[in-house]
Amino acid sequence: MAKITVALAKGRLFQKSMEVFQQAGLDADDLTEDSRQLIIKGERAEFLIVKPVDVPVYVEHGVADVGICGKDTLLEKSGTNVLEMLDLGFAVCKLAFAGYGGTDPYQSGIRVATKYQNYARQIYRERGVSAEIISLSGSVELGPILGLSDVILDIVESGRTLKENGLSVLEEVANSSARLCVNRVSLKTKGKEMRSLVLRIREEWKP
Amino acid sequence: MSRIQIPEGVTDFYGDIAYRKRKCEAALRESFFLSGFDEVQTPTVEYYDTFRGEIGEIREEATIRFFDQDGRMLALRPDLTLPVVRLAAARAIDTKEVHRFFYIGDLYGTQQEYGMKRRQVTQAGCELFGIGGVGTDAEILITAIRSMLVLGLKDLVIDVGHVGFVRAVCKDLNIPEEFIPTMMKQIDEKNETALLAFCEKQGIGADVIKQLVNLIYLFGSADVLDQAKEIYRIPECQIILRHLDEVIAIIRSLQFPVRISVDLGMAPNIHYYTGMVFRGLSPLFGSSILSGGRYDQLMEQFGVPMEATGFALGVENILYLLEQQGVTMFSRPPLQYLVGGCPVDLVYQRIQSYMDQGYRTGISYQTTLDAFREEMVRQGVERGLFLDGKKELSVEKGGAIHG
Repeated sequence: MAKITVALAKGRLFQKSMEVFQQAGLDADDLTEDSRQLIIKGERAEFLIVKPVDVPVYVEHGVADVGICGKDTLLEKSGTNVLEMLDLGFAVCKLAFAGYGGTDPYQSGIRVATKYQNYARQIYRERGVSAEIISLSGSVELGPILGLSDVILDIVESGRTLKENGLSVLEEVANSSARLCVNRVSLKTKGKEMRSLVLRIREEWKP
Repeated sequence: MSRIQIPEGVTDFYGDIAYRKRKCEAALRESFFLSGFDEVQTPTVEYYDTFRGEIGEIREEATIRFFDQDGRMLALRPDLTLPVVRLAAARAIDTKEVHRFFYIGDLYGTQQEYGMKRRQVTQAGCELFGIGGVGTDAEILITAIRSMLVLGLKDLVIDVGHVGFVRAVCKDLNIPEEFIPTMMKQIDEKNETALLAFCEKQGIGADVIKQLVNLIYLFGSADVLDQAKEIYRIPECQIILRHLDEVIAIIRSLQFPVRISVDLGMAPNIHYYTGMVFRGLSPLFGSSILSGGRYDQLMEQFGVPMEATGFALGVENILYLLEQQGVTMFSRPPLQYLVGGCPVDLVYQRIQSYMDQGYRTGISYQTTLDAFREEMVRQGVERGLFLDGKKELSVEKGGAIHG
C-alpha cells in the first residue's frame, strides 16, 4: 500500500489540520507543532511540518501528496498548480483592505502594505489602478499607523487587532478558509489511497 | 553585468547531461520513427500569426516577439504543435492524405513552471493528421506509451479521459452554454468549492449541482467506465464511453507494463481538445510527463478542416525523472582508451587505429608513466597505451602493465 505524504502548516491551521487527518485514519497521533523533527513517519503516512505559505509548493512538486492551507495562501500563490479539492470550513476569515476610515483603497497611486503582494498586484491590475505595493512579512497594521502606507491588505478574523489600532475594514475582497490541496499526479499514481482519503474527509469531516 | 552570466530561464548543457539529453532525444526519435512517424523540422522563427486564433492561441505575453524588416511580427516559436499543424495544412491543400509527423526541438517563451521562469525548453511529440476514430486514438496512445517505455521509465500510469463527456453531461442538464467552459475548468481542477459557489451564484438547482459534483469524483481504474455506463444513459455519453472502452481494450491487450487510469472529469484546455485526452504520470514526478489528445477543430483555423491528434513530452523533465529513477542507460561512458608518451607520431597512429576500431580514444600529454597512470584514474579510463621511446606499454586501470 502506498504511503501518503502530508504537508501540515504550522500556526493557526495546525491543530485542526491534524484532526482532519486523524479522523481520516492517518496515524497523526504524536504530532506536535514545535517538534524539531521536520519529517514524522507513521505507518500509513509521513508528515512534513512546514510554513503555511509553503504548503502549496510542497504539494505542487509532489513531494507532498496532500496538504491543508488557507485560501488566502492559494490566492497569493495563484499560479501554483495544485488541485484545491475541498473547503474544510475552519480558519474562516476574510481578506480585506483596512486603514483609517474614509480612505479609498482604489485611489490612484495608493500605497499598500501587505503580506499578499502578488494578490494585491492582481487586484490593482484587474482594476487598472496603479498602486505601490509594500511587501511586509508581519504586523502590517503598522503601515498606516506609521505612515508607511495608506492602507493594508490582510486577513481579518474578528477585526479586534484593527480596532485596537484605530483602523477599520475598508473593503472585503475575498473569503478564506482552510482548503484541502492535492497533487494532481498523486491522485492517480496513489489512486486507491488518495481517492479514499479525499472521499473520507469529504464525507466525515465536520469543522 | 558580468560577461559570464546568462539570462534567467535558459540553461547550458554540457558533459554528461548534454550527452544524456542527446541520447534521450535519439531514443525518442528512434521510437517515433519505428512507429511510422516522419520527422519534421520547422523553423525557430515563425510569423506570430501562426500562434494566434480562437483555438490554441499562445498568450502574447508568453511569446518572445520581434519585427522583420517589412514590419511583420515574428515570434520565436512558443509551441511546436502549431508549426506542425501549419505544415500539415499547407501539404493537405493538394492531397488529403494521412500524415504522421514527429518533432524534437526547442520552444521559447516565458513559461512559468514551479515558480521558475523557463525561456527555452526541449519538447518531443507526435501528431497524426487526417483520420479519426478508435483506431487512431489507440495508435497515438500506443505511440505515447512506447515512447515512455523506451526511455526506461517505470511505474507509469496513463490517465485517459474525454473532453466531450463533461460537456455532454452539462448539455443534458440544460446548463447554459456560456457557463460550460467555467464549469469544465472547475471540474477538471476538481475544485468542488469553486463549482458549488459558481452554481449557487447562477441559481442552479441542488439536484443538478449534485450531478455536476459527481463528475469530479468519476475517476479510478478502467471499471469507472462500467459505472458511468449505468449512470449516464444519454446517447452522447454512451458513445464516448464505448469509444474509450474500445481504445482501452486495445491498449490492455498489448499488456504494456503501465497502469491505466480513467478520469471522466478530465477537461484540460477545452478550447483546444475535442475528444480523447490523456496524460502520462510517474509517482516520482509532480506533474504530467506527457500529455496529449484529439484536437479536430484546430486545422480548420489553417483553412483545412482535418482530424488531428497528438501528444508531447518535455525532455528536461524526462532527464530529471530518469535521474530520480537511477536509470543510467543514457549516461556518458568514459573514454575507452587513453594514449600518450612519445614518439608523438606513433601516438597519433595508435589513436587513429583505436578510433577506426570504434573505441572512444583520448590523448594524454603526460611525459612520465606515473603521471599518465594518474590521468587514467582521473578520467576513469579502463585501458591505456603509453609509448616510452621504442617500447609500448599497455596499462590497465587496476595497475597491471604489460610491455
